[in-house]
Amino acid sequence: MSPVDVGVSALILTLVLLLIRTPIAAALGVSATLGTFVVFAWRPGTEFSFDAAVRPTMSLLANAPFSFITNFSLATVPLFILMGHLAHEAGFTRNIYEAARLWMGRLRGGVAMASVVGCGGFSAITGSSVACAAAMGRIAVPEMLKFGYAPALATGAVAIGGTLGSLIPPSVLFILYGVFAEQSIGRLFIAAVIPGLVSLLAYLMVIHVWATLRKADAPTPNVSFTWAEKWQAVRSCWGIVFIFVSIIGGIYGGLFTPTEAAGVGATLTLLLGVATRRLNVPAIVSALKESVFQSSMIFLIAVGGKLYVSFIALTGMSANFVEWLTHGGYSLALVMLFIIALYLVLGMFLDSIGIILLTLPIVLPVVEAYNLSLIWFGVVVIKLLEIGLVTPPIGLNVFVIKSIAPKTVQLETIFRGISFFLIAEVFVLAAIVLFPALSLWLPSAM
Amino acid sequence: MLKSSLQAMAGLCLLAMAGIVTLSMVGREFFLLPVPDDLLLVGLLMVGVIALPAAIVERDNGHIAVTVATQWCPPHWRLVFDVLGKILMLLFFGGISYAVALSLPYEFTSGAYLDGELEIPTWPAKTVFCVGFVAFSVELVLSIGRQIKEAWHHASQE
Repeated sequence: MSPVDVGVSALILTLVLLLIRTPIAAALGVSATLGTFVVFAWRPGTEFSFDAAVRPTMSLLANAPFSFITNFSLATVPLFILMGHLAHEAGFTRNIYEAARLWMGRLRGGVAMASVVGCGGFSAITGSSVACAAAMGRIAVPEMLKFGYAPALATGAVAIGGTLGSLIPPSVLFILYGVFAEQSIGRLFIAAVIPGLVSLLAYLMVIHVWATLRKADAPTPNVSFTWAEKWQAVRSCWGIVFIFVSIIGGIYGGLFTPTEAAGVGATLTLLLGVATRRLNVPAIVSALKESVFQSSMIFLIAVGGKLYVSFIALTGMSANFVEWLTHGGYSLALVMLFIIALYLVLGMFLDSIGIILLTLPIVLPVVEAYNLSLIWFGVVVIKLLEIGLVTPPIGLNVFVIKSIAPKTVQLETIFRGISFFLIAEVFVLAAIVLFPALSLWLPSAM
Repeated sequence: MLKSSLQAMAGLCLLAMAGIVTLSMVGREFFLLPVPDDLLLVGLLMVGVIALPAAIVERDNGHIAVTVATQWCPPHWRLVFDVLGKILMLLFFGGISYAVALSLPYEFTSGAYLDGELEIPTWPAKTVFCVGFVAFSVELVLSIGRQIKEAWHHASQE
């Protein structure tokens, strides 16, 4: 049995396991381990030998997960997660939303716009879309419903705004992509800044158009604020701005690496929270518990993914696939369309981290063969994964919003709200794909 | 109690990581004196952050799985798939724990250490790794037992 045959069989096994509710970590890990064992036991032209496969497989299990977990670059993930939880516990999330609401509240659709801007602001200190949607959803959805906003707009705006969590740096997905694609995490973070801002602006435009066309869906609140109140609200955000500028400025200016930025960011948030008496011991303990839980959950999947990536490399499957594509003379446009369709379809059913780990070993060599920038491609992939977070049937952000919205708000209502934003997403995605400079201009100036 | 203690230790490891990274950066930039072996120390603390809370993740059913294809299945089939998923988790992570545990006596007796100023021995981090993943595996066994019991209870009621 050739290694490529084993690779294809293992890929099919992975998909079957995923379909029958096997946790992603086990689906990737078991098929990779089994596949590795078969590749060594059944070398081309030889008889099946159990003994020949035991040692390399055990060696892989003993060394790969441990050395993967102790990778310094990956320490960025739990540190940024901690920073986000500490910031949330300290109430920084509410500050951003309040400031945006005071400034934008009187605009048409202003409260929904404030929610999206709040998501954008919180994204600057959290690395997870789901965390962003959950944190902002708890604050903004009840408020919009109180002001008489249509449930579809209120929930859709926060669900889509939450997707900025993984696009605007820092981002857990960019860190994982950077590690597996062997790309600079700092450059990826900087590359995502403009696409993140473009996405945010697109969402604001959708809200504006929606609120203009269907005035009843977004009534203007009958409250006004003085300039003093508005400036006070902006001043209350200084902590979050300081943290964001420190970490992104530090990375951009070459003062520190992304992992150091994560460590400094978490420490700064802790110190700021304690100094301003926003964080007490129970809040810090809660943030730590949540952070280690989430980190462990992510890394259990990533360990399975790590073995899977090594296994795919061992089979030589990617090289064969690239050869088949290049010999077939498929155009770049066709290949990109196929990749985009692949990610959109997978995004409907699979979790983002699972998709990254499942696809990168096969897709990255293709992208490299076509001489495309892996930094730009990283931004495209994360954007596609973010769209997957709000598309049915499995839109994780939509489920999060459903869990915190009033029981009367149906899942279909949220998906209906999302559908208007998806039109904007098509244009934003097209812009990111067709104009790589949107992603590559800032990193090129580093 | 044990699982909560492991989670608490993981939290302390995470705090220590943030502290070491910050101290090292400040020391390097302002006093030309980084924390020695900071990269190694942070990497080793990561083992605590990831492995120790794994049992809590299992207890709170924190694993991510694709449920869309099976949501129309009868409940007893979903239960069968869930048990199968947990058995596969046990095989995979139990296998990793076993493979790492096998290497532990050698690491201990040979005095293996990581290259660096502090010559940090490898066995403490590997022990923590094993403790975390063994606790995780035990939790998986308990969880499988609970689900089989539940399935048995349902079957006897029907």
